[in-house]
Amino acid sequence: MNRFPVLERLTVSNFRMFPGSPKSPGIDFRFQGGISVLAGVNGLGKTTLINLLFRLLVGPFDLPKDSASAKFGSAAKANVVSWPGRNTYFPQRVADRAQSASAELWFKLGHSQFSVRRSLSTLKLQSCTFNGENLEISGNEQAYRDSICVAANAGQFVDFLTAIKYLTFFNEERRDILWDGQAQRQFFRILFTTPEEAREWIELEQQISSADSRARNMSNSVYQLEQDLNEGEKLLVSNAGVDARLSAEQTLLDTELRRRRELELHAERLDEDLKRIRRDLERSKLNEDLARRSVEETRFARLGRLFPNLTETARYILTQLYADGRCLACERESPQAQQRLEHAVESSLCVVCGSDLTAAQRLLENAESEDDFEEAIERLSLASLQRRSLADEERSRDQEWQEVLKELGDLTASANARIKKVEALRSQLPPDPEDLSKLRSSILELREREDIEKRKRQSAEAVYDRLLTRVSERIQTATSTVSGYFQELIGCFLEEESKLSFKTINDRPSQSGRIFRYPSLRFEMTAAAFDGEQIRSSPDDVSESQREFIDLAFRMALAEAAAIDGEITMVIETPEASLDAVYMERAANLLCTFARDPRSIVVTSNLSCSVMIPALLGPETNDQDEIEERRKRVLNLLDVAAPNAAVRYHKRQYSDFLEAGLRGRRV
Amino acid sequence: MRHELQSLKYRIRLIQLLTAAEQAALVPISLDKLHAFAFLADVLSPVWNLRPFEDRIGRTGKSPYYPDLQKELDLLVAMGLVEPSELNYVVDEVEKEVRFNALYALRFSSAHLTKLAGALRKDETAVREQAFLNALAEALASLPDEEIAQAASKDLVYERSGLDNEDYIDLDQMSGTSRTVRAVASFDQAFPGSKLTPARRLYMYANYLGRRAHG
Repeated sequence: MNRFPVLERLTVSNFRMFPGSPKSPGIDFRFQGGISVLAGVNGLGKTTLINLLFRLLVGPFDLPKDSASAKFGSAAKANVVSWPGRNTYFPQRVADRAQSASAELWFKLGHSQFSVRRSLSTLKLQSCTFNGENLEISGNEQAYRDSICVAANAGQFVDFLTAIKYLTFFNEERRDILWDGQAQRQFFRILFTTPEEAREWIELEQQISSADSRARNMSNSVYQLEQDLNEGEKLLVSNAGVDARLSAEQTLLDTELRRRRELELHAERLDEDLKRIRRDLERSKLNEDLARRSVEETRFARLGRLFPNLTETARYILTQLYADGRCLACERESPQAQQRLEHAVESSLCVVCGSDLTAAQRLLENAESEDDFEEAIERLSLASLQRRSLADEERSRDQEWQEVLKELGDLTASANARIKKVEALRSQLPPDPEDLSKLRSSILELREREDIEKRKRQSAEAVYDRLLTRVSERIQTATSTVSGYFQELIGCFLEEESKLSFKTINDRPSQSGRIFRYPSLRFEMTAAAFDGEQIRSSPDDVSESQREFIDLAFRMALAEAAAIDGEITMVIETPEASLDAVYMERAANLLCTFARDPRSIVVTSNLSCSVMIPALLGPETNDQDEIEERRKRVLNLLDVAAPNAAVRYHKRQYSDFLEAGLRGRRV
Repeated sequence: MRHELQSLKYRIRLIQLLTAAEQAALVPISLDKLHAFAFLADVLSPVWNLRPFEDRIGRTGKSPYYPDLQKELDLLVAMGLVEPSELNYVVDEVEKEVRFNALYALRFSSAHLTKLAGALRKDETAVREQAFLNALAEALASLPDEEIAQAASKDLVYERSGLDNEDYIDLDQMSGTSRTVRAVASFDQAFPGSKLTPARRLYMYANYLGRRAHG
C-alpha cells in the first residue's frame, strides 16, 4: 500500500452534538494543506470528531480485538470483523439517537477522488462516489472496499484498515509499533511489498500456521495413543498368566457366593423355625403352669382337710414340699422323699410324725376323685415333658443358627476379599490383541496424516521463504529511507542523539515450524548515564512523553517513506497532554516538519495551553489576511458544538484565548 | 448346673423386685402386680441402659405372667424368704383352669435373706439394677389404685397390634428399640430444651400407661 487518504472536506448534518449556527448549521469544514486544528475545550466532541473521520473512511469494520495482548498479532490473524459500536457509538451521544444525522467526507487517494456519506445512526453508506461515479452500495460495502484497495494500492481491505487505524490516525487507541517486532513486520509487509505480495504473505502464514496446528494436534493424539499402546504391550508381556489366575479366583468366588446363598436360605428357614419353637415353648410354659396349679390345688385342699389347724402358708409350703420332688433344704432331687410324702397324705398319716389320721380320711373320700387327680398329674407330667423337649429343640436350633451366622460372616468377609482380588486381576488383564492391532493402525494413520500436514507446512514455508527473500532487499532499502526520515523528525523533538538501526531478527510464523529471518528496526538513543547510544528495546526504556513522540515520529517516517506521491493526512489527537512548555514547542516543531506540502496534519487542541496553537499556526502577526488564512485552518468547536456548562459560562475567555493563538500570541 | 444357675438368677431377681416394691410401699404385692412389674422392668430396662432380665414372654390375653418366675417364687416361699398371704386357689369351671392368687412380701426376719441382701449391695451390677427397679416401683406406685397389672396390659409392646400379633414377645430381637422405648424417647421432643432424667421418663411412661388403662 503506497497511497494514503488526503482529507479535503467534512460536513456533518442533523447531529445534535454539532448543531452549528442558524446561519451555518452543522459542520462544513475544508481541510487545508499543512496543519488543520480541531479546537475546543473538554467535552465539546474532539474525540467524537476524530472517530467520525475514521469511521467515514473505514465504515462499520474493525480488526479483531485481542484483549489478552497489547501486541500486534501475526499476519495469519489478519482479519476484518464488524465493529461492535456501529449502532451505538454515535446514537448514544445525542437525545434523538442520531436518527437523521449524517456526515460526508471528501478525500483523495492518489489521483482518485472519493466522497462518502454515512448515516450516523448505523454507519451505513448513504452515498459514495469514486472519481465522480456513484458506487454500488451493499451491506458489506464490497464496491467501496474494492475501490479503496485499488486506489490505495493495498493487497486487501484489512491492510488498508490496519494502516488507517494505526498509521494515519494517532488516537486514544494507539499502540506501540516501534517496539513491537510483529507490528513492524506487518507494516513492512503492508507498506513495502506489492499488493499481491502482501496478500500472498498473509495466505502463506495462514497456511503455515493451520498446517502446523493440525500437525501438532495429531502429534499430541499420537503421543497419547502410543502411551496406551506401550501400556497394553507391557501388560501383554508381564501379565501373561493373569487370565488363568482370574479364572481360578472367579471359580472360587462363584463357589463362595453359591454357598453364601445357600446359607442365607438356611438361616431364613432357621429363623422361621426358631420363631415357631419359641412361640410353642412360651405356650408350653403357660400350659405347664396351669397343670401345676391344678395339681397344687388338689394337694392344698387335701392338706387343709388333713391338717385343719395348719396356717395357709404352712399348707402352701407343704404343697410345694411334695410337689416338686426336690428337697427345699438342700435343693437336691429326692424322689424317695416325694413318694414318702405322697404316701403319707394318701394313707392319712401325718407327713411329719407319721401318726394315723384316719378320722380325717372320711373327709378325703368325699372330695375329688382319685382319677381326676391322677389325670391332673398326668397332664402336668405331659406338659413338663413337652416344655423340656421344646426347650431342648430351641437350644439345638439356636446353636445351629449361631453356627450358620458365624459361617455366613466368615464367608462374606472371604467373598469380599476375593471380589477385590478378582477386580485387581481384571484390571491387570492384558488387552485384546485385536484392539492393540487397531491401535497400531490408528497410530500409523495419524502419523501419516501428521506427515502430510508437516509436508504442507514445509511446502508453504518454502514458498514463504522465497517470498521473504524476494521482498527482504526491498524492505531493507525502505527501512533505510524510514531511518533517514525518522532521524530528521525525531531530531525536531528530542535533545538526545537517537537513530534507528537495521537488524534481522529470528522468528517463526508458527509454533513449531521453521525459523525465518525478518527485517526490523531498532531504536537507539544516548542517555545521561551512559557513553554512546544505547539500544532501547523496550518502551519502558524511555520516558512516557518521549515514548509517545518517538512512536509518532516512527509512524510519520513509515508513512513518508511509503507514500509514493508523498501525499498523506495524519490525524493526531491532543499531542500536548503530557508535555511541558518547551517540549510542546518541540512537539509542534515535529508536527510542522512533517506537515510540509504535500503532507498534512489534522490535530486536536483543547485550548489548555497558549503555546501549542501559535507554535502550529505561526508566529505573532497583525496581518489580517494572515489571521484569516489561519482561521480557515481551525474548526472552532466553541461555535459549532453543542455548548457544555464551561462554554456557556466562559465562552468569551475561551474565544479570546483561541483568537490570541490565531494571532500567534502566547498569553 | 445350668438349670440351677438360672434358678438362682430368678430368685435374686425376685428379691430385687420385692425389695423395690417394699421401698415404694407396694407390698404385700399381689401375684399379678408382681409379674406386671417384672415385665415393665424388662421392657423399660433400655431407659436405664440395662439389658432385660427375661427376653421372652408369652402373650396370655391377660396381664403379663412369667411361669418360671412364679415357680421360683413358690420355692422362695417354701425356703422362708418370702411370706405369702391371702392364698387362694379358684377353680374356673368355664375356662377349666385353676387360678392361684396370693400377696407376697419379703420375710425380713429371715437370716438367709439378710445375708443375700448384704451380698447384693456389694455387687455393682446388682446395685444399678436395684436403683432402676426402685425408680420404676416409685413410678408405678403413682398409678391410680396401683393398677399396675392393667397398665402393663396396655404397654405398647405387650398389647397386640397390627404390626406385632405374635403369641410371644422377643425383646432381644427388638435390639433396645421397642415401641415402648421409642415412646419414652419421644418425651424429650415433647419438652425441648429440658433434659429429662431417666427416672422422670419412667414416671411419665407410667402416667401414660395409667391414662391408657383408664381411658
